[in-house]
Amino acid sequence: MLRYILMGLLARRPAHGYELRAAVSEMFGGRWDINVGQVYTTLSRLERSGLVESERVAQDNFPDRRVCSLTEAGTEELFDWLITPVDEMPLKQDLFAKILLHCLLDAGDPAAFIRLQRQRCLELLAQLSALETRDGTEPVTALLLEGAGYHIEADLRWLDRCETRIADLKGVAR
Amino acid sequence: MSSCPVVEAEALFKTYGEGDTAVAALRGLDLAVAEGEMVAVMGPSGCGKSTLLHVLGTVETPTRGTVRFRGRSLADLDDRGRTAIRRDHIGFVFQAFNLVPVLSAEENIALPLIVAGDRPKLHQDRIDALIAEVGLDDRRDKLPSQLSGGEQQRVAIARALLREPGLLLADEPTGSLDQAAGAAVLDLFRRIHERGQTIVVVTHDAKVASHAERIVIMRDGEIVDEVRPRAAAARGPKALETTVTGLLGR
Repeated sequence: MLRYILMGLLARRPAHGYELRAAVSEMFGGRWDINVGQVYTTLSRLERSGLVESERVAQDNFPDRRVCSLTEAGTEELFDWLITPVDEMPLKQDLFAKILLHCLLDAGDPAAFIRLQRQRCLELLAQLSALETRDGTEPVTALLLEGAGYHIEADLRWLDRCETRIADLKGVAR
Repeated sequence: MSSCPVVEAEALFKTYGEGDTAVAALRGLDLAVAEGEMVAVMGPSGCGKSTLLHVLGTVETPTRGTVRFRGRSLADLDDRGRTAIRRDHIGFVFQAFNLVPVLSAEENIALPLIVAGDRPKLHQDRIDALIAEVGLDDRRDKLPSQLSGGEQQRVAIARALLREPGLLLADEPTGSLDQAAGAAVLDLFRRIHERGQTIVVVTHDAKVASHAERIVIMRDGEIVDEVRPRAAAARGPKALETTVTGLLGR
């Protein structure tokens, strides 16, 4: 995702790595304390792919700095990304695989595992609400946290369903 | 802080009906709620969580088992004694608000005083403070029908708190509310709990539950699990920062 955020920021105006790092941090309400090395690595990769180009600008008393701008190919790729809906199907394969294996294995205990997962979800939800309470006025974080909360609530509902269907799952798995 | 629980249920059974048609709503349940604690009760419909709330609130008597309120067994009291405990020490908040439709918001809040034979005018400061606390200063003269669902629930919460109950019981307090109104009611619960109010809340809403110190999970009339969600939240700012950074997909 970082590559598209950097490309998007460069579409506004050319910038050097340090400026971009500050702009990313500002965009996420100071929440994303991004490593400047990560910014430079991503920019180099974008440059190798021809999506970004850079030019050395001399400075007094400081080493030259590399000012990056978006190429035409970069602009095209950025706009393709921007107009494409996100279509990750939230299939929770990892979680479901664990539940199924608990049903399949003699030593498995699907009910106990579901309880454990439910505890974890409720803890995560409490962490989110602690953050919301603390940073409630900050809109970027608030929306992000709210979205994460909805996902966890959905997982909890789904775990309840799995719990009531353990017998069926055992039948299928064996 | 007292070491004696505010309310304590021991080996609680509640059966409705008799013989073949008997339905067991509670099957040997134990629960103790400490002073200042917020406990959320979660579980599927029909698991007995509302029955538990009614028994804790002295609205229903258990078929077997003991309920002690501040160490005193309710079984030792007659109906009048139980009514007195309910009236003086327990506040109720329901999903359906249960306000009196012909009384204004302020009159609804003052209702417990009238029922107790007291004069609301003598307690105007307390009433004013509660109205301010639930954010209804400019709505105090409105009838319930002129208030939104969230406002009606805030009136109901103020009414429940009027006599400074030792125990606040809430049954799905956000169940009839939309997101925004539910969030405002949840915020109110959070504030009164931070002030030391002991609360037991029955809820389907995991977000409401996540504000409790302890969540008990019920199935078929029993407590099958207990979660302390805030223990994780209290691990410190570093853990929280890591969570957010994780959310950003770094």
